[in-house]
Parts: sequence; C-alpha cells; structure tokens
Amino acid sequence: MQINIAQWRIAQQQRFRTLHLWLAGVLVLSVMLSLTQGAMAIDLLDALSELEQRIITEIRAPRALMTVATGAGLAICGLVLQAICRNPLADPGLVGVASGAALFASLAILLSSSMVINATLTLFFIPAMAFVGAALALFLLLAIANYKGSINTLVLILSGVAINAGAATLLGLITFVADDNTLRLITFWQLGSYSGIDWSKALLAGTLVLIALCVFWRHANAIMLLQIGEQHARFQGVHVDKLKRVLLITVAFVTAICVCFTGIVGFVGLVVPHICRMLVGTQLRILLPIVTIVGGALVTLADVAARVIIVPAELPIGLLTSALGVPFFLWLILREKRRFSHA
Amino acid sequence: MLDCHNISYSIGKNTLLRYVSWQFAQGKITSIIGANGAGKSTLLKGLLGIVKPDVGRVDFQGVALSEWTLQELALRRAYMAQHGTQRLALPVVEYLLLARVHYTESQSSAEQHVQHVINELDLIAMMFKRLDELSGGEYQRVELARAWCQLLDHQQLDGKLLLLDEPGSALDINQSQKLYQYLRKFVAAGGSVIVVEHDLNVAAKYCDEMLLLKQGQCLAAGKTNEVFTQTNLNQCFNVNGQVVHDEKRGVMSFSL
Repeated sequence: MQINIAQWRIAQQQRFRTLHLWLAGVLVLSVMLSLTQGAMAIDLLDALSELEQRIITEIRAPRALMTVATGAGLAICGLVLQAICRNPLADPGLVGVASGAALFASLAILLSSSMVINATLTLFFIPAMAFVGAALALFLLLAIANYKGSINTLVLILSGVAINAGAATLLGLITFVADDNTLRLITFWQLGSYSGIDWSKALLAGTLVLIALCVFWRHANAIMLLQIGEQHARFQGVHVDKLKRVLLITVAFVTAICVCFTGIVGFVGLVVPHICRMLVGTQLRILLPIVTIVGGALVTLADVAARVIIVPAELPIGLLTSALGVPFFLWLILREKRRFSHA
Repeated sequence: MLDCHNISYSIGKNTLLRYVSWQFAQGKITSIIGANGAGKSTLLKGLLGIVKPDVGRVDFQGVALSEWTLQELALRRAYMAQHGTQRLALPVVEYLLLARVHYTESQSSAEQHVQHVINELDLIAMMFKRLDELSGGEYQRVELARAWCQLLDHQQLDGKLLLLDEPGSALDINQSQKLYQYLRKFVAAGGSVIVVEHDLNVAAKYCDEMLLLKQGQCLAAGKTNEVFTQTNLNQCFNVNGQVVHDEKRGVMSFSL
C-alpha cells in the first residue's frame, strides 16, 4: 500500500525526533565535561567549595557558552555559504572574513607591544580590531563581487581568494617587523583559544548566533531554492540579490564575532555541515537545528580535549580542529574528484 | 494572455529580434519554431522578462511585464529551463513542496496540492525517490510537476502560463510523446503553454498554434494547420521539403 505525503512527513518527524534527542544528549554531556574538566577537575555531585563555585560560574560556564555559540555559529555559516555558493567546499574562511580578522588582530598585537597601552584596554583592543578587520574584509568582498546589484558566485569565491592572499601578504609584513615575543603572541592568537572568555563576550556571541539562526530559519526555503539555481529561485518569487546580501552580511557578522574573541578555529564550518548532511539529507529546516547542535558539541568537546591533553597547559584549539578537519577536507576532495571524473 | 508588441532586441550589431508581435492565446499550446539562431530562445527570454527588449513591450494579462512583482509572477507563470536545474539529493516530494512556498497556505493544503499533481502526472511510483536518482525522462516529468505545483491554485490552473525551452531535447520519441500528453492535460485543466520546440512534427501534432521565426522576424503565426505549410516551412528553414497529410490519423508531418 502506497503511503501518502502526510504519513511520510510524520514518519520523517519521528525519525528525526530520535536523532534530536541523541544529539541533545551529546551536547549536554559535552557541556558537563566542559564544566568539570580542566586544570582542576571538579565533581558536580560533591558539595562545591567557594573556589570551585567561582571557577564554574565565572570561568567555565561562560567558556562553555562561548564554545557552543561559536561552534554552532561557524557551522551554520558554513552550511549557508555552501548553499549560496552551490559548492560543498565553501566555509567562512573561504570568503576572506576570517583572514581579515586575523590580519587586524595581529596588527593590534603589534601595536600594543610597541606602544604602552593599559592592560584592560588591550583586552578589548584586539577583539575590536579583529572585528574591524572582518567588517573591512566583508565590505571589500561585497564591493569586488557586486556587479550591477547582483553577486556572481564564482566572482565571490575568487574575491575571497584575493582577499585571503592580500591578508596573507600584509600578515607576512607584520611578522617581518614584529619582535620575537610579539610574533609568539600573534601565532598563538591565530591558533585559537577559549581562555579569558567572560560572560559579556559569551552572551554577545550567543545572542548574535541566535539571531543568525533565526535569519537562516526564516529564509530556509528561499535558500533551498537558491541552492537549486538562481534563475530557478527568481522564477519562484525569490529576490535573489537581496537574499544573498542579507545572508552574506549575517555570515560575516557571525564569523567576525566568533573569530575576534577566540582566534581562528578552523574547519568547523566545513566539517559539521557535511557530517550532518550524511545523517539527514539536504532539507534545510531539518539540517539547521542538527548542524547547530553538532557544531556546538564538537567545538565544546575540542575545547575540553585542548584543556585535558596537556594539563595544566592548554593546547591551541585551532590545532585540534584542523587536525580533525584537514583529513576530512582531503577525503571530501577525493570524493568530489571521483564524482567529477565520472561525470 | 501574453502579448508582445513590436519587440526588437540587439546585441551590438547583431539584431536578434525584429519587431515581433503576437498575442499568445489562452488555453492553447503555442509552439515557437525556427532554425538554429533564428531567435527562438531570445524570444522566450523576452517573454520571460530575462531579456529587456530595446523597442516594444510585453504585456502579461494586460499589464506590462515590468510592473509585476516577482511573487505575483511566480504565482501565475512558471518556466522549465532546457537543461533543468541542479539536482539536489532531495526527495521528489520535498522538491515539489518547495514550489508551494510562495503560497500562504497550511502544510496540509500544500500537501494536498502536491498529491493532486503527483496523481495527475502518474508520479506515485517515484514520489519518494531522490532527484539525483531519476532518469532523464523521469526528471523532465518531475520538472513539469514542479511547474504545475507552482501554478496550481485551489486545484485550478485558470489563467496560468507555462513556458518551456526545448523540453524534448533530451527525450526519446516515447518520452517526448508522454510529455506532450501531460502538457495537453495541463491545458485541459485551464492552463496555457508556450514551448520552443525543435522537432517540427511533434509541434505539428500536439500544438494548437505555431509561430515561425526567421532571422529574428516573425515569418508566420496562427493556427498550426494554417501555418504548417510547405511554403512557410521551406522558407523558414531554407530547404525544399514536403508537408504530408495523413488523413486517416489526422496528423501532418514535414520531410525532405
């Protein structure tokens, strides 16, 4: 007996409900790990000393929120960029926003080492500069890729490559003039770290990622039509250029916020959407919540691992996500290569 | 339904369309016929509004095409591109439901409309298959279903227009015949069709009206049996062929 659409939809929902529960469990578990593990292991079941309470509420809880928020943010941005570019290898780093942020953060580190800036100012100076860099990279990107009000996807990717190259050159210049100590700071910033995250930063990132999630959810169907084809979307009533601009600006904001406080946590935007697509297919309204959870959980777990591998020091988290991401990236390229040669 | 008044279009010194005028009739299948480079696709693009004519204008339901909003047009007019779209790993049902997003309706209403189209086009066997698993002929039928879903309003197609660019180019005789049978169904349900067709005999068999283009000019237009004449076709294609009437089966064909 042939099932109808309504029955099929209910079966789908049941299937995904189980998956949602599992993934939510993983997220909760990773947050618990993030709260309890680290230089000082804390058992939540025991009575907590005042010091332990302060460690949890003032250090580890905002840090856990930040890892969940930035992981989710980078992952959903990757997902949306892959849809806009109709390219499975797209990621927030690709369009040059992350490297713009890295360039300006390095500049800030260089400046603060050569000038006497008071310590609290330095704390905000570097993230603020990173944000300016990301915003500049975005405007540059839109200015180059924009042609008579529309954005060509190929030109967009090429513009990203050009911006990345420009940023790398200027970064080389900064590296050349910097002294050893500054160089070390710059390198570490680029490798990514979640130390020194407080509630204000975590809440800011969390709010922005939540807004981005709402924007993407609202436009989910239009994004799918866009992924099928731009002309296709236009004939189905989608204002393609307006939509692309809204999505790109959202992606750039989220990337900028994620990168400016924590440095570059690479490959999350590439790896997570792919794993999730393998699990549930391409329907965006199904993918978005799953990508959010998996991205948040993955970065949180990576951060826990970074803290416990060489206690009491911390491994840069960017190293861990890259170590995970690079083999995955290679595997993707090999798979695509096989597909293209068959086509 | 769709009226073009004296439209001309050129790129540099190349004139692609010269003062083409024709009122495309409601409730009919009209074919656009011509040799390669005669301007068929350009005319279709002009009718769609992708190409803005240098002179003249196109009216859709009595209103200039440029005054319609994208959403309003999407509700009334659908387009099937020659090579289709990028095929996502998406079930056919989901793809068809996406064509309903510009309607403000409940989920169950959208599903009812999609189910109706699936039944009309005999797609039940493949409704849960993924787009990238379909054969060329199946995919073409799903594309037609998509356009149908996009236009179907309260189970009706009155005043809705479907434009197709060489739909038969990837199909064999059998599949192409089926496609046109479904297009006839579409028209019977109240819709209108404009199709760029390279197969003369298919056009002669299934289309009510015909527009012959030669070097960007409208050579002849009207009822298919009036336009499909030896003189017209020989002039249109620069050949020396014959129109054969098969009285018994009631079909015309053109051969060299």
